Amino acid sequence: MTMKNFRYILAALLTWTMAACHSLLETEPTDFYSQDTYWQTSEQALDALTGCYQALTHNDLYNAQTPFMFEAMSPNAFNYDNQRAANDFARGVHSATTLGMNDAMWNGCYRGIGRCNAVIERVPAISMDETLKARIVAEAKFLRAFYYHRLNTLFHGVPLLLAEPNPDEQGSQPRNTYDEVLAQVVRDLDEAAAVLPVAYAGADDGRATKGAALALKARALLQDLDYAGTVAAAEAVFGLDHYELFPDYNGIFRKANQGNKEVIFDIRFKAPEVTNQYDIIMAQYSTQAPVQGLVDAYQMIDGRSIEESDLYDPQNPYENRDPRFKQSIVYIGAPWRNRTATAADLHQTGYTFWKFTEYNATTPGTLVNSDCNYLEIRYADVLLMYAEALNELSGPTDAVYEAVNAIRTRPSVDMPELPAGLSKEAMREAIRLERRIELAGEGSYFYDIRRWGTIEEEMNGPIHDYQGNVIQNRSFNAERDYLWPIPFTEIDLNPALEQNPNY
Amino acid sequence: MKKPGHDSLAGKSLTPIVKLLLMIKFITVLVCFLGFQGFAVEGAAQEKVTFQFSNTTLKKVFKAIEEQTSLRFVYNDDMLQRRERISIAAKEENWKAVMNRLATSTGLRYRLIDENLVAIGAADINTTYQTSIRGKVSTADGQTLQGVSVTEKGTGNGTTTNERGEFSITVKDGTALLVFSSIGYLTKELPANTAFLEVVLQEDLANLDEVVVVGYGTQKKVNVTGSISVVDGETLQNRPITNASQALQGVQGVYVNQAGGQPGADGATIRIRGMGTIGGTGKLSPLVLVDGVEFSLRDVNPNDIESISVLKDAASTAIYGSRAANGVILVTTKLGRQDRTTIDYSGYAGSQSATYLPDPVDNSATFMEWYNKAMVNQGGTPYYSEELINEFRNNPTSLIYPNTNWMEVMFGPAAIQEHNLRFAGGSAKTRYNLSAGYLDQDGVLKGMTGAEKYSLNLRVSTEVSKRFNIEGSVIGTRWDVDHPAQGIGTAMNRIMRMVPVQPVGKMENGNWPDSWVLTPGQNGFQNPLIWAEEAYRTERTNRFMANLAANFTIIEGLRYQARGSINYGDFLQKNWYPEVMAYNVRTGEPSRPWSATSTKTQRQEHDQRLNFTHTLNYQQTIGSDHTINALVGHSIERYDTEFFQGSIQGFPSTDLDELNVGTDNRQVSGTTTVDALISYFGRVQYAFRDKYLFEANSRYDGSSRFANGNKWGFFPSFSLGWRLSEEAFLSNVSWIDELKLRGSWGQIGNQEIGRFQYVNAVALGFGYPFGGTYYGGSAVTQYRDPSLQWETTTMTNFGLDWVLLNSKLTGEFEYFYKRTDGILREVQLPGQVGALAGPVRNIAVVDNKGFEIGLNYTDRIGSDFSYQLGANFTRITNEVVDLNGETILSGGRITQEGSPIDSWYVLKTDGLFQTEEEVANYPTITDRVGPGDIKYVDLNNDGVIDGDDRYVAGNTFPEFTYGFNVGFSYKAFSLSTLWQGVGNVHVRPNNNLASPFNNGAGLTKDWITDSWTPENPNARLPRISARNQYTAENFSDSDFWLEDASYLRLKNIQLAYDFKGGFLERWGLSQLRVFANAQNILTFTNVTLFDPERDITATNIDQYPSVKTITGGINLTF
Repeated sequence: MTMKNFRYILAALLTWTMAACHSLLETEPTDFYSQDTYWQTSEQALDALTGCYQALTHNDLYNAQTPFMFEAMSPNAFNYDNQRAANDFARGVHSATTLGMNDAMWNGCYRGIGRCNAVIERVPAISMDETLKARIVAEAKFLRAFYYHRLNTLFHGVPLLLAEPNPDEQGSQPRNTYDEVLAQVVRDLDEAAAVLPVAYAGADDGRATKGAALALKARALLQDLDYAGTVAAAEAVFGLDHYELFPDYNGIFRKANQGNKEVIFDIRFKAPEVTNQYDIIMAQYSTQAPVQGLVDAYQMIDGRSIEESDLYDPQNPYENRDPRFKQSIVYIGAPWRNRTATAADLHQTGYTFWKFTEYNATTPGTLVNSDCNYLEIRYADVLLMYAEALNELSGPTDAVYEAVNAIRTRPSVDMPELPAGLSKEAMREAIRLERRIELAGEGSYFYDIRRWGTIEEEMNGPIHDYQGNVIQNRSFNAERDYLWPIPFTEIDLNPALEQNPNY
Repeated sequence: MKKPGHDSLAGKSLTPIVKLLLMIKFITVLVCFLGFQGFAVEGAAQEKVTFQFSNTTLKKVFKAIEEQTSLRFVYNDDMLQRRERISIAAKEENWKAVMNRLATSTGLRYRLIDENLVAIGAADINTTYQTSIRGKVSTADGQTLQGVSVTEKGTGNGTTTNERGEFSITVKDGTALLVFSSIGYLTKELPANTAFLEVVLQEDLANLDEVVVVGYGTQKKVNVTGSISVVDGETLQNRPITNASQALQGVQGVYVNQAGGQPGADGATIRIRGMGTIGGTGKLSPLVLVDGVEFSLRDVNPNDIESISVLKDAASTAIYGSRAANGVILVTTKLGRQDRTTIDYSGYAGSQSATYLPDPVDNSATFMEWYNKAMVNQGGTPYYSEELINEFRNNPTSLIYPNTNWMEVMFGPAAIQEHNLRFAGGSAKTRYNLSAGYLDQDGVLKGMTGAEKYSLNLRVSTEVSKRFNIEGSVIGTRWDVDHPAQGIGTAMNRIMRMVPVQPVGKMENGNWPDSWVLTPGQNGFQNPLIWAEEAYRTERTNRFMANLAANFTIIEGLRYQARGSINYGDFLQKNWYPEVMAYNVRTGEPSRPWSATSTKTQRQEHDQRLNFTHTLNYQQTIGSDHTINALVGHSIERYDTEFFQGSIQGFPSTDLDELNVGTDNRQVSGTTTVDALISYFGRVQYAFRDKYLFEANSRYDGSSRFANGNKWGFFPSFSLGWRLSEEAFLSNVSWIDELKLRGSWGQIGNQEIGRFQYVNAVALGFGYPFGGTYYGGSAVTQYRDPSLQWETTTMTNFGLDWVLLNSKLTGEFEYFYKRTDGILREVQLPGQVGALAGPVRNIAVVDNKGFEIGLNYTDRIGSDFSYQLGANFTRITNEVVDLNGETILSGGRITQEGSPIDSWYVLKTDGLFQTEEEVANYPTITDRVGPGDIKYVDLNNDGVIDGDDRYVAGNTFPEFTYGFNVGFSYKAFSLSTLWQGVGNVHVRPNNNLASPFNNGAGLTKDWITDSWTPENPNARLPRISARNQYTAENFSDSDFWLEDASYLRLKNIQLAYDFKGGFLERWGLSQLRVFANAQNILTFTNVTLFDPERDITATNIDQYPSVKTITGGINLTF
């Protein structure tokens, strides 16, 4: 190599490296989009909407053990391992610095709200099929209302954010009032109901429907004790003439019957992409173990309580009970997983729930990752909300009887109809018991007793296992515990947030 | 008078001739090399000649030697012609021996003036040679030394030692003084008063010519103005170091924490001068370069390491700019010596065992009894019946009545062996090293951990011509590592969760037994033996690095280097998690599945780092006073990674486990990433009379990790040095050999912030099923700030170096102040903002201040005993200066202004409640608290015990690190010890087994003896309760549970014996050494539950234990 050649090569190398290579620094992401270039197509709009649904499946809301903690914070069930501090909430020993269910709900719901806000703000500008566009926005509004309703019920009056997430503008926003949030929930649901279809063709099955928006509106208004509004919303659901009770009570929860006509809104899972731990939670963990108080609440098949009925045999306490008992609760001696359930299996209280699981009397195994759906709103719930509101408005009318009896006489339940001539108060008690039994294990009773105010007694005192042993004592501070504490970490990050009273 | 010293061999009389002839010869040689010379494997030093001449001229003899060797002679023809004719014969004789004979008989002298250029000159005609002396030169540890210059003092007479370290020289008479000198050794003078001289040369620890590897080059140690710690590869010799990161333990200014000894996964965490920033391991780790190329310490064979330079201050690291904020580690691999070819074998074998394991209650009846006590203490009812407990108590241990100690079942001694073979050598033009290594390490977690490593290293440097040198290296490493399926964390978690009532072994029908006694919380069937017997995770890594550099001297003093490298790795992980059912050990009925569905997952990763660097180096001495050394460079680096992962279920049986066999739930994922870095860098060094030193380093880096407009960062540094010992006022102080004061200032950066932190991303993977089909979905999950910029570390360093008492005492003192500002950290956002992860922003400022001191003393007593003492100590105080008023809380730790990063932030405690009365008169954390529970202090006096009563109670980063080594050698024995320790650091073990009955897990034996009961009111531990059910009362993060994790550890002790004697030679050996070695054999610490060298911030003990290793082995050199 001569010196001259070498110099040429050197010069060429240097020129090449210095000039051509600065473009190397211009890397582009290859597995995600940038906000600046997103929001162009209907596919992107649909994907973003899917993200709004996906927020439901986060551990904060409907995955892990979270959804079952609501039952364990009610008189129906017991949680032993204090996941998400649910046991502390149940015992009333939580404090301003407790982080658990309150934190999960706060973040879980705002996660969904943020995504919905982005869709509601961005999608209208996309040029695409207008009908689809309107539906996408309406679905997002339903979901936004769903999340805000949850927050407003648990905390009352949370910051009402309606624009795409932006920390500079939203990070210091204080709480709005309960009424402002409720008004927005109702507005979103009305707007959603006006657009959403009654049902979807197969591929879209599982999306928010008109019925879901109306049923959620009924729930939100009933929570506000707006009985007239509840009745109107429930009647609007009936008016769709779409829903009916599924004949097989336990079968409502089975994956095989997904999308049956009783389901109004469910949270969906599908293995292997989106799975939950419901099956193993029910089969092994006993995260929400039914307590004796719930078991004792089941009537005998004659429609009387165990105290009143001659059919009750303390030696065979599980016989001749409301058929929903054996379809809802696994007890020692029950046929279970291809054998007989033992005390060791049901190690917390002697019971476990028979809902939201894959297992049945003949499957031996347990699924660590199951994909049962969570039924959030079903037709029976709407019937009972309607009955409750109507009874409060106008007493035990025929319509009230009809609604409750429809549930009691479902083919697989076959309980006697309610006795005629009940007083308003007696009907109120009957409806409350019916809710407790029909929706046992579904997380509803936690909200119900708060609405009724009966939580002050029901969550004060001991709970028992199947042998009558006291598992724990619970307490409820009426001055404080109707509302959960805003997570203190949130107040640290946004000092404008005011804590709920007495924390 | 003649000039003294061996370097004047060329002599006055030769000088004019040599100068002339050199020019001619040089051109000839150059042409030869350019023409046909490739790699000269056999060095000139070893070349042998065979001839027989009688009555011939010297010229003919030289010609014959030239023909048979790569040597070339230069001489003055006139001078040779005047000599008489000679007779000489040689048969396969080393040319030097021949030349020595010629020199003796003719009075001519010769000298190797270039690597294969021999100059011939006339001896002083007045000198008469009468006394012939023979001898042998070796090192203190018995290695013979080749190429040592042996000269008669005051004359030009001299020779060098041969490959066996032997020499023979004829001197004037017995009063002559012989001077022995060799680079790297202290020069020695001995009288030539015996016929045979045994000479031992001492290593010169403060050799003025000693060089230190620095960024993009080397530097004479005396001229270094930055702060650099050097690890000599020799100190690593024979130690069972399985990951080169462990080699840095005990190094001054460096905190090295090896959490666990899992084979193939036992790399240590390295922090140079503290935690400079906030936010994750990647952001805190130093930059590691092997032979100038970014590479991992895991993949370089410790046995191939020649030296490690740890660059600590900004002056040393600024030349690496944006990757240098956490210091830089430069590893240099071995290269053969020019003058000899060696074949080395070193190997050892031994056994490892866990240093610490928890001591669980292994008696089922005791376990159940204490579980009941816990339940009662918590206000509940006993869970296990008295009948059941008695049944266990009254029956001998069996499958049905097990009393299993799971630590004993799962852990045991494990074998380790390592073998290394090295061929090294060189000729005048070429040096090479070829080595192969093999490591086979079983895991102390039996049946599911272990590793094998194969490594190859080839390094060659050759001079193509006087001005053109090429060098290259190839490193290939293969790891085969076994892990438990689902990873070590899950497996260790399960092991720590095991309880004595769970049977071990299999049932008669081969089924896995499940306990018939259920422990609440023990939900799944979790027998960890299944990991060993039925499931697996294998990880295979192939890594390959090729590194080629060409050096060209453009004009005298100006050198250009182009270096290109590729560092490529591929990784394959296979994970098999089979369906396994457990059966009730008593009834034989199916009980619970260990895994309900068989799942096979396979993951492939590739990464590729390409680097192309040019440097231009100019070195010039102007007059005798000014030395200038300047470097400019440009580098381009591109780093690509990709992975692909697939998993499948639905296997018809567990016999076949390939992906092809499964049918259900196929899942795939994968992505690619690209990083690029473009840099311009430079260095200027100036020395005035080698006394006043100045140096500036800087780098201008462009990184793909930042948005346009913020991509480029400039990182300068300056340093000054003053060698006081060169000053006139110190030159007469005999006990001071070297004294240097130095100071530096500089700025360096950190680009490890993750990719695309400046892009507001709409991420994918947020799907949901509609109509039974899964649909992909998108979501914004993090708010990002496009304006983020480089974080900058500014560092000031002062140092004092000394070499005293005839090089016996060396040492240095350093003070440093390091401030990192604009720290890139993820800001937390209020959840109401869409529950988004916060943006990475330049928001925090962190200070690290400290000092280091190091001392070394080497001496000998008599001729047989020598010793060496070394000690170093580092103190670092870390403080968060600015965090924008935020506090970051995580797992009982806090990062807040005014405290060290990640300090323990816990409740203060004041012992245990003793009486109900005491409980009643004191604020308690809940209403369940009773006597025997922990008494928390109401620090803010608000009558309530809550999070507001927490305080900063301890460090997660040690304030002190220190190390010392003591070595002796007596005759053929040598003993070396390395001690290492840390101080003022705390751990908070919690969770399974660290605390009792966590969610059904077991408890350690100390709870039986040391927990509070009314009868044992002075107990160390509170009354028994279940960790997850009585959390607030007894297991809140409090100083009660904080343990001082300071320790002092005998990291390594090695006893070696070097064989000497004639048999070595008969076997062709130049060295035979046997040794015994013990690693981690002795530890002084207060931590009892687990090894103090652990993942400091982890609040569990679900970690692989540390191991102590005892080995024995040999070194052989041919």
